[in-house]
Amino acid sequence: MTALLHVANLVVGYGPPGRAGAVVDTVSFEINAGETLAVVGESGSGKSSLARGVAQLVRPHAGNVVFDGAQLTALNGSRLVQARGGLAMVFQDPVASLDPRFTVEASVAEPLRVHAPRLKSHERRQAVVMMLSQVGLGPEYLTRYPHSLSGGQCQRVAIARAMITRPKLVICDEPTSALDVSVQARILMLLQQFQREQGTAYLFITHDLAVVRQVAARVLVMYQGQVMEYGTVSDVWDAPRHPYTELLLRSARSFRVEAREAASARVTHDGCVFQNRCMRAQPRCTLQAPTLSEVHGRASACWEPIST
Amino acid sequence: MRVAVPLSVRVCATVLVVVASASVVLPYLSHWQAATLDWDHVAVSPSWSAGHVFGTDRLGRDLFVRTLAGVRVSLAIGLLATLVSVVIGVTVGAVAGFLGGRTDALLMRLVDVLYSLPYIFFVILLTVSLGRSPLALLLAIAAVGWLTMARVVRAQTQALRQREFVTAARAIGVSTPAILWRHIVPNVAGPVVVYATLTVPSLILLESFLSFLGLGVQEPAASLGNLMAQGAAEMEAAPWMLLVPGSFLVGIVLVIGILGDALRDWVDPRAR
Amino acid sequence: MRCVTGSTRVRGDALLQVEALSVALGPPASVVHAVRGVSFTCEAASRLAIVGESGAGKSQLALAIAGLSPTTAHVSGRVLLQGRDIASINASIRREARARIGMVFQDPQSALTPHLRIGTQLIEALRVDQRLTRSEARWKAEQLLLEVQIPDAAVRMRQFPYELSGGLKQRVLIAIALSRQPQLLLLDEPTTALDVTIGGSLIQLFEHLSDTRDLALVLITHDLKVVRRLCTQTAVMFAGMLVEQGPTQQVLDAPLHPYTHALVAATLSLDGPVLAEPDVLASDRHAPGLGLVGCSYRARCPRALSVCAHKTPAPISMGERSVACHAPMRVEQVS
Repeated sequence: MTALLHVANLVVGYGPPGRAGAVVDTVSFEINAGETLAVVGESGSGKSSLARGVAQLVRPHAGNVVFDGAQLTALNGSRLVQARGGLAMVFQDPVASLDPRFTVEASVAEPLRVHAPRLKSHERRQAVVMMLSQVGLGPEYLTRYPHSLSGGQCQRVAIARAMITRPKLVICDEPTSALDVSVQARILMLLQQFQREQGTAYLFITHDLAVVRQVAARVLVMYQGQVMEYGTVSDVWDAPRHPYTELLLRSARSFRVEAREAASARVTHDGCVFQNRCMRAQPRCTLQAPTLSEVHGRASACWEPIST
Repeated sequence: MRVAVPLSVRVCATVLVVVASASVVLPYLSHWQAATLDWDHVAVSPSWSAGHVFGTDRLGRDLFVRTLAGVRVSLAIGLLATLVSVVIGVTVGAVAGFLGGRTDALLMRLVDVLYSLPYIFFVILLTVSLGRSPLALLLAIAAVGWLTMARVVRAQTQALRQREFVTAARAIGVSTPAILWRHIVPNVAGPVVVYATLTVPSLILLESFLSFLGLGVQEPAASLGNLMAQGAAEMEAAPWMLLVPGSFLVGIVLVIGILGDALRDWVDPRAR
Repeated sequence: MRCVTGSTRVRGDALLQVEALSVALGPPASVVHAVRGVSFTCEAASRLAIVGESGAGKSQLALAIAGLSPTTAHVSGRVLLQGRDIASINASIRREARARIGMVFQDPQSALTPHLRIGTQLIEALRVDQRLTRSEARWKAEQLLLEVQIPDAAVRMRQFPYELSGGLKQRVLIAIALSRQPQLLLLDEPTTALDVTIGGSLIQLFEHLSDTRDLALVLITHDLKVVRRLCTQTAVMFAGMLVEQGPTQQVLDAPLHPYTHALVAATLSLDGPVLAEPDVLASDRHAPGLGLVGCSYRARCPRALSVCAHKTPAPISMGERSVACHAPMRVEQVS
C-alpha cells in the first residue's frame, strides 16, 4: 500500500541553500491514509518549518514531498493549486489565522472559491452552513467576525475552512496550544471525529506530549532539525530509546531533570546534535552523527540507545 | 467595534458638501457668467446693490461666479488627482510589498528616482509636451501624489504579509493577485483612506501654486490659483480680488485637513 | 502523581491574608470586574497554587497583591502582609510591601530591559534599599546568579538579555525578585512560555529556593501537573471568583466545584486514560460581560440552579477546604 504522504530527505532553511543553517535537516517519514502522525519537539526543533515545508509554503532546499501520487516539490502554479485541494492546514493562533475583515462565511467559503469555482453563491452558502454545523456552530455565525468570537470558536471556524474541501491530509500546526485546557479537549475530539467520519489523515505538530497520546498513533521526535526517534506512540512513550525522548518524557511526567540546560547555540560541528545535553554521550557521539535505522516501524538516531 | 461617527467628522463633511454643491448650483442663480464682462462695473468692490456680491475683477467679471468656478476646478482636480494617486500608489505599493525581492527593488528605485526629480522642471516638461491643458495638469499632480502613498502601502503590506491569515490563504491555494485584492487591499484600506484625505488638500494647494505660476489652469478659465495670481497683482488697489479666492482656498484646505485628522482618529483605534 | 506536602515544616502565623479583594478595570460605562471578592490565606514558607484559565483574573489578582495594579484600576478589599494592610492608597506603604513580595512575571522576554546588561539590572535591584558599594553589589549579584543555578555568573553579568535563552532569562528574573530578601515569591505562569525540559529544571529551582530560604510561594498557573508537583494548597479561580480552595491532592482528586471537576476532567494526561467523550467538558461560549450578582460560572455549569443567577455563592468552609457554590459536588462525602 503506498503511503498518502511520503517525505524523503527534506531540507528546509531560510537563507542560502545548503545544510548549514538548515532548520529542517534531512527528515523523512510517511503517513498513510486515515492515520495521525504527531511531530513533537521543543522550540528550535524545526517542527513548524517542517509543516510549512511539506505544505510548500516555504520551498524546501532539497528533498521530495509526494502527496497522493503528486510530487509537490516539482509543481508550480495551477497544478500546485490543484494538488492543494487535497491538503489543508490548521494554524496555532486561531484568531490570527482568520482575516479580520472576512465574515465567518467568507473565511469558510474561500477554499471553495479556489477549488470549486463553478459553484454558485447559494450552493457555497449551503456547503458552509453544513460545515459549520459539523463543527458545532449554528447558521447565526455566518455573519460574525473573528474579533467577536472566542479562541475556541475561531479554531472551529478554521477547522471548518480546512475540512470543507474534504482534504485527505490536514497539517495541524499546534492547533490547541493557544487555547484553554477545557477547550483544547473538545477541539481535539472534533478533529478525531472528522478522522472517523471522513478518513482524514493528520500531520499533527505539537510540543505537548499528552496531546500526542490523545490524538496520534505514531510519533516523530525532533531536535534541532533532525529526527531523533520515531515509532508508535505506545511503544515510544512506554519505552523510549533515544535519550532526548526519555528526557522529554521524564520532564513532562515529574519535572525531574538532570540534563544540563541547553546553550542557545546550535550544534554545527560533527556528531550528534544532542551531544551537549546528553547524559549518555560517548566520544563517538562527537565524531559522527548517528543514523536512523528502522526495525519494524521503529527507529532512533543514537549510538547509545536506551535498551528496553 | 463600530464607534459612532464623531462630531468633527460630520461637521467637516457637511461643510465640504455644502461648499461643493454651492459651487455647482449657485452660479446658476446669478445672471453673471464666469466670462461675462460687465463694463459698467469694472474693479468694483463687493456690493449688493451693484449686483456683484464679491465684487469684480479688472475686466469686470463677477468675482462671485468666478470664485465658485475656481472652487469647482480646484476641488475637482484635487479629488481626481488624489483618486489617481490612490489607485497607482496602492497598486505599486501592494505589489512591491507583497512580492519583495527584485520587483520590490525595481519599483522602489523608480519611486526614489521620481522623488528626486526637481518638480517644477518636470511640470514644465509635461506642459510643454502635452500643452497647457487640464490633462497635463492632472497628470503632473497625480505623478507626485502617488509616491508617498506607495511607500505607505508598501510598509503596511510587508507587515500584513507575515500575518497568519495571509499564510492560511496561501495554504488554501489562493492566487497571489487574489490575495492582494481580497486580503491585502481591504486591510490597508484604513490607512489609505486617511492618507488620501490628507493628500487632497496638498494636491489642491499644488494645483493652486502651479496655476499661480501660470503653469496650470489658463485664462479665461478660473481656478483659485490663477484668481489669486490676478488678485496679488491688484492687492493694493482692489484687495478683495485676492482675499475672496484666498479665503476660499484656506477654508477648503483647512476643512479637509481637519476631516483627515478626525478620520485618522476614528479609524485607528478600530484598526488596532 | 507524587504530591509534595509541606507538613514537615512548622506552620507559622499567616504570612499573607487576602480579604475580599476586588479589582475593577476600565471606564465606568464598561467596567470589567477582573477580581471579585477573593479571600485566602497563605502561611509562611507554604506553597499555594492559583489555578484558572485565561480571563480568570489570576494575573490581576497577583498585581493587586503586589501593589502593581494599573493606576486606572479600582482596588478594594484588604491585603495583609504579616498583619499590615498593604493594599492601601498610600504609595509608600505599597512600595515597602514590594520589598517583601518578590514577583516574577510571565514573559521573560519583555520583563528585562533589552539595552541594559544583566549585571546592571541586577545591581539596580539590589541597591534599591540596601546601601552597597559597587563591588559589594556586584559580588551579591553574582551570588544571586549562582543561587538561581546560573553557571559562569561573572560572564553572564556582562551579557545582554538577547544573549540569554528563555530559561536563563527567567532565572535572572527570579534572581532580581530575590534581591530584596522577600518572604513571599509571586510567580505568574513562570514556565508557560518555556520548553518542558527547561520548565522542569525551573520547578526544581523553586523547590530548592523555597526550602533554603524559607520562602512562601504563590504560583499562578493553568498547568495542573506543575501544581501537583510543587504546591501543597490550591485555589481555583473562574471569571474573577475564587470557586474552590484546599489541599492540592483533595482539590484535584475530589473536586467540589463543578468548574474544578470540568478542568481536571479536560486535562489530558501523559499516562492516564485517553479522553473518550466530552462528558462534562465546559462549553467554549464567548463569556459575556458579567454583572456582580450571581455565580459567574452559571452559563457553563451543568448543575446550575435558579438561585445561581441572583445570589453570588459565598464560600462554604468544609474543614481544610472551602467552595463557593450553591450545588457543590460530593457534599455527602465531606462532613
